[in-house]
Amino acid sequence: MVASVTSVADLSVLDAPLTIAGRAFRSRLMVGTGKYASAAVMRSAIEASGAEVVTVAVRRVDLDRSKDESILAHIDPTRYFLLANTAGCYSVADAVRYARIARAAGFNEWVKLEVIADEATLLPDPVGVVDATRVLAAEGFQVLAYTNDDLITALRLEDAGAVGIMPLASPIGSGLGLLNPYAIRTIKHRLGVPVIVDAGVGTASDACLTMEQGVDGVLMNTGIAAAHDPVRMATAMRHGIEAGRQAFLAGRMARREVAVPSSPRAGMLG
Amino acid sequence: MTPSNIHESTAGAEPAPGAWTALPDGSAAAVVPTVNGRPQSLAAGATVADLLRTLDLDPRMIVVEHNGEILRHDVTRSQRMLRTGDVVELVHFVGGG
Repeated sequence: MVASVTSVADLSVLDAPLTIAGRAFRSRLMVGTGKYASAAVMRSAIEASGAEVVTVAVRRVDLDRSKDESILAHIDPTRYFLLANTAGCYSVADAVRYARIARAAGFNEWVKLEVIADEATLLPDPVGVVDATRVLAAEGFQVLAYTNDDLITALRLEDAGAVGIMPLASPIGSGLGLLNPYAIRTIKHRLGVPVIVDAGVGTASDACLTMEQGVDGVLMNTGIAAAHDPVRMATAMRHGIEAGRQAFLAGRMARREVAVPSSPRAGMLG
Repeated sequence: MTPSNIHESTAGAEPAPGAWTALPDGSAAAVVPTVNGRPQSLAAGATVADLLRTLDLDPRMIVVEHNGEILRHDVTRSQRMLRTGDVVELVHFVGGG
């Protein structure tokens, strides 16, 4: 019996909470609220995901009331932790403006900071996101910074005051899964602040594989919302996240290029 | 300033070109700030709080940016008067990822 073996009695406390800027969350899955066919499906999917953190976008009120209404008509802000994002911002000035407006809504001082650089790929602007992080951190924001899977940018973001780093698995809405496990692993290994992989997770095995890299959590939207059955996929994602987390904590076996029998070689019949 | 000073908004209807400078009773609008990118006719002396009432918006769900300044408090909103040329953004949270 080795010291690291979890006894069955410990199964109810399999993992420490995810703690970001002093705030603890039980779930390591964060979800978006966009692209759902209906508010009812969104509510059910978020419920099934087990997520506590939900991200929302900052937009003009539609004065014709022809399309959107406040997401707060469908998401109870006393039950979920609202993480406003700066999606759609292509400059430091815009991202800072959107973050300040989001904070003025009065829920919290957190922001999922996006400074996008390219419309075709939606890849982040690494220089812009570092600059915006510095501005917002100085204003007391808790910045979770969306970035690419580059270690040096992640280190710069931590230096700039981000409380969490959100490297992409693959481009936003692509569903291509975790394209560079090595890069994500390296970022997690080197950073002191939590690493939440954000964007590109397409199905439960992507979520599991991402968590197996040792990261602290995953944020996703399209992977659930664009599934044929979002509620079922949300359930699968929850299990994928938990399976990947437990597999990481358990520590996988060493890979071998040769087979090793699982049954004894000895005791074969004569 | 009381709500009775405020004329009904034409928001939602498709105004004829140029018609937005007139209030529904035919009188000339006293002030025409730009609200979420389009002209909004209001009576003279209208405040941000009056604007929200005119548009039938729940003030608790809305963040107001007036000429680039975020107006946090109800008191500020009820005191801040709007003028022609002002730029107002009424913002809220929507679904996103």
